[in-house]
Amino acid sequence: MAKKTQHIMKRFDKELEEVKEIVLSMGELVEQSIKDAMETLISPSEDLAHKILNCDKKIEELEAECEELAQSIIVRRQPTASDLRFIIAIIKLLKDLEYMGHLSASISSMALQTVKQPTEYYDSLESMGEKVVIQVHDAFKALANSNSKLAHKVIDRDQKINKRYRVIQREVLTYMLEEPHSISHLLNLSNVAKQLERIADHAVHVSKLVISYSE
Amino acid sequence: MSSSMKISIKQLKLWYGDSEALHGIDLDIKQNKVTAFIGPSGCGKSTLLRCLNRMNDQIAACRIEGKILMDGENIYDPSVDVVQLRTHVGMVFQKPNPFPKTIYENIAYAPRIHGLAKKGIEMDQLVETSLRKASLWDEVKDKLQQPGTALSGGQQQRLCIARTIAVQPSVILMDEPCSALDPIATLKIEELIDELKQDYTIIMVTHSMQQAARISDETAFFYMGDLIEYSDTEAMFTQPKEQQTEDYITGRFG
Repeated sequence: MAKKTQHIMKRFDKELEEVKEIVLSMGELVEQSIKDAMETLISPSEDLAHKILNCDKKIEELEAECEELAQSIIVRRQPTASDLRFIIAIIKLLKDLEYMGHLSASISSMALQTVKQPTEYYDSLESMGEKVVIQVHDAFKALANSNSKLAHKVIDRDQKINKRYRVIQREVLTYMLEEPHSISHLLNLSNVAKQLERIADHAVHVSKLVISYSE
Repeated sequence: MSSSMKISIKQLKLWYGDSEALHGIDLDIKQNKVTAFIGPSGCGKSTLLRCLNRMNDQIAACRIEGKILMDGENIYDPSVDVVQLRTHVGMVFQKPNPFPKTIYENIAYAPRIHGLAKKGIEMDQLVETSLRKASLWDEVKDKLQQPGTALSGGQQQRLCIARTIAVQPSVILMDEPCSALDPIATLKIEELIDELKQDYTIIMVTHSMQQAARISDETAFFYMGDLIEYSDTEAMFTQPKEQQTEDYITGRFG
């Protein structure tokens, strides 16, 4: 799509920009929250877990603020065409952001329940976590620049995340068979992988929404 | 021309003196649908609307090329009787313009001239049917002998619609029919348009894009004498194909 000219009504441009900025700052919070959650997994820390919970709360506050602004745009500006598709996409992706925040918080709470084990257990998870962070980062980068090409990339890369998830599940299962006494700990790790996979799915959904209004 | 097409405009060009106002418009209008013409002032939408019942014939400097087929017949063919054409293609204007006569006479006047109904019960029935179709009967049935001009703006506009219906047209043209009305009167006219499309093909020019989105089935966007885009209204307002349409309907024009 060609580069947009400005609306005749300048305030409309400002409002759309404001909505975008709130969503992007929510995206940054989510990204940081996933990084912190993965950090808690390596070195469990009550403080960091607390920070993640605060972050989750902040994301919810911004979600409410953004919802209100989107509603006001619908009422006052009666958006059409790409403006309408953008606002609909934003309202939908607010839920993705909220769930991603919850999933991060869930990872950190599982991390706190997990007794520290030798690092080789964590390597695969850590690497998956890094890839998921990149997915989230790129999904919001695509949103920031209405870059549907990047959004398509995020969608394509999700298969690799799913594959990695299945590999981790197999690894965890093998560890379980070898060390039945660690099952509860390993179940936690398996759940962390599941939460990461879900976060990546939300990044895919965000990317699909970016495509829906930018193509 | 498919049977669902009521009007087919072929390569229509129009000049006012030396100035070309329409640059070869091709457009098929579907039967029993509401088609909205939108676009900025001077884009040619009202000019095109007026071509559909040859109202531009009144303008001396106006010259037309191309064809407008209505039910397959070219309305610009020299053999066409313009008066007859205008009974088939009624028109409602921006400002309600009832005759300075009674409500009854406003409706009865044209059918009497065209010999569509005799005086007495036959005419009474035609007046009632027309007023009912225009959703005005219940409001005026006890004051048919009062002047039409005493009605409210919205009622006057519905009276004009009833007057149009009375000569049994198949097409109704509307040139910004709600722009002089308050929002409630506007909604009543819109509701009426939605009902009338069962019996008539309606083409309306509107400056309100929300109105086009609310009531039209198809929308045509004009700019500087060209038809830029013509499509299903929902598609037009959610995902227009042309950048110019996008810019206009999102308020980025100019």
